[in-house]
Amino acid sequence: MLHRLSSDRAQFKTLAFKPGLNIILASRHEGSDSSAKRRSRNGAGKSSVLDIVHFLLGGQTEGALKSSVVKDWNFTLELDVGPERLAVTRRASDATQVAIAGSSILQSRITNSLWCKHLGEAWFGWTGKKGAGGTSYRQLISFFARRKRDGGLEDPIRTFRSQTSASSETTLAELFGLDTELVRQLHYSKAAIKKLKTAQRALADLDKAAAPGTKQADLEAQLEAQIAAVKLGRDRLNTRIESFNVLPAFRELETELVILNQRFRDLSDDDILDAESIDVNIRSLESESLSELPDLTRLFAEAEIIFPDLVGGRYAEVRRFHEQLVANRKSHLQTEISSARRRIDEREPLREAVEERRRDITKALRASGPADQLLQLRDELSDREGELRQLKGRLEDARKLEVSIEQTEADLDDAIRALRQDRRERSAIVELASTTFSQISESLYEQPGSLAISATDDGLRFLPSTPFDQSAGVMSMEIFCFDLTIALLAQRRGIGPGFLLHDSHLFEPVDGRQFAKSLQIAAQISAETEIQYIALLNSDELDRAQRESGADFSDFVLETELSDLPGGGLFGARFD
Amino acid sequence: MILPTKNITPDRALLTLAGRIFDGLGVPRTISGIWDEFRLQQQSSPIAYSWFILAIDLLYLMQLVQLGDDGLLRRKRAVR
Repeated sequence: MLHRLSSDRAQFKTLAFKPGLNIILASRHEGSDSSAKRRSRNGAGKSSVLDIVHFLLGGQTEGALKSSVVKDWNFTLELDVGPERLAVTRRASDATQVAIAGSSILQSRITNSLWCKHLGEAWFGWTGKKGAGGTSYRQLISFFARRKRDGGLEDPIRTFRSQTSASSETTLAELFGLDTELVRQLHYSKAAIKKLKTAQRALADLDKAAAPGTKQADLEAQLEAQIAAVKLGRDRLNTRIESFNVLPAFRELETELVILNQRFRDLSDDDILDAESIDVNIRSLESESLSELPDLTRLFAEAEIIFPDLVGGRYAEVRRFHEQLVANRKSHLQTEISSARRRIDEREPLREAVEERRRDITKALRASGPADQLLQLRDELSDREGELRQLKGRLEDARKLEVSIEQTEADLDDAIRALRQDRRERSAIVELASTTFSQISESLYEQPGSLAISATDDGLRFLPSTPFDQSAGVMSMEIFCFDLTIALLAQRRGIGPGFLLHDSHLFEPVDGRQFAKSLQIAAQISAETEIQYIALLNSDELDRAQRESGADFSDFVLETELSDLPGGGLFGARFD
Repeated sequence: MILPTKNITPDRALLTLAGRIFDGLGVPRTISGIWDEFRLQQQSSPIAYSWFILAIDLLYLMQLVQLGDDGLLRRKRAVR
């Protein structure tokens, strides 16, 4: 149950909730001027109440909370979590942390994800971060406070527009007390098969020979047939090449050509190495400044001071030594350069000889037609071999895929069987859910609707339906009955947050009498079961409901009212 | 320049370099051979060729090395 929603800013309209039915009213003051009309819907901050509640229950920063005006406001929600009544405080500019007051279990500052984990434990009995089948706490809690912005009011079984069947069905299975893990397995297998089939199609597309629309099952056979054909072609080529080689003269020439080619490459490599060494040595000659006598003078002067006994008067001797060093170095570099040049020159005639012989052989081989043909056959053969390798690889892939698909399909069948079996064994739960839904819808329409929960090949389907399916607002009333059913079943199993929040968007398409009826049902159920029902309504809509039904809800209306007048909204000030 | 000074770090002082060159003179070698090896060792803090030659000059000055007729630098037989 929720107790109090407040902020550390005085202009914020504090909301104090009571047990049972709570109606938060937003009054509209439609003026004749256009500016009043424009703000008539969103000025009071009804959806912001939902956004802040979600935010304080671990959700993301959404709606008005994104505005820079309120990013530093601390919002506080007092609520019951398990046996404790505590207060959680969070602000948009520091959303990774929440502050907790009044808890004997939690520290006073924890991360938001730890807060979510705690709520998952306290409200849904989880020991880990996620529930069975990978459901998340945030997905579950969304069924207790739907948001129009997310598309939560478009389909009873989805709380946001793009929610996948897998996500919605595991979440609902958890809420209804069915086996979540089985639902997850079923959807997992389905997704896996889809992926594998896509891969198979991609593989088939590679196969240009395959006629468009060829059956998947034929891919393997197709590949096998192709392989056989390519193999045959390769063997024929081999036979022809072998019969060519009966001419020994050609074979000798070919062998020689191969040797000559290698020889020529070796000679070129050596030339390159020598050219590089010439280059390096020339650069050394240029860059090394070789005779800097002033330095030598300084060296001598210093040495005389440091080693007076050693040096004596032998400057001329040292200088001669120095010049000898330099000359030696120069001549060494020169020798290196000239010997490299000589080696290159020596290679030149060799290269020419090799080149000439090579030309002759090639000419001989080409001139005698058969050799040309032989080379061509060789080329063709290596093409075939490559093709064959590729096809074999593809065949192997295709076989592996087929095996995976068979395996996964078997898994899927198992999952479907298990789900059906589980659904049968838990028929008591399903029956209770259907009965609950029927009772609620009956009191709404005087004729029961139905909720079928069926285990199909496609998953666990939840199919709520109400009588008079044509009437406007039927979807709204389905959602209303569905959510109440979830809240009741959860309450009975001792799980759930203990509240249900609906805003006026849900009731907008519903006629006044049904609207009033649904509020009466909500009031009655919440009085009987301690489920707190909070409705965020526009005052004129409530007036309409009261007028058309003769009922009176004024006892349930909260003291704090919101309005679209300046200073009357949830945040005190208006901002966009 | 022989000893380290404010501007010459100990590992660039001629005496240090001379000692290093002398260490490598177990066998007689050409100046180019010594230079190539020395350059590899000093890759992290390159030394100019002229500075390297001065270090050898210093060795000679201290009567530790001599240049043979074959153009190879070698240690001088100890006479002390």
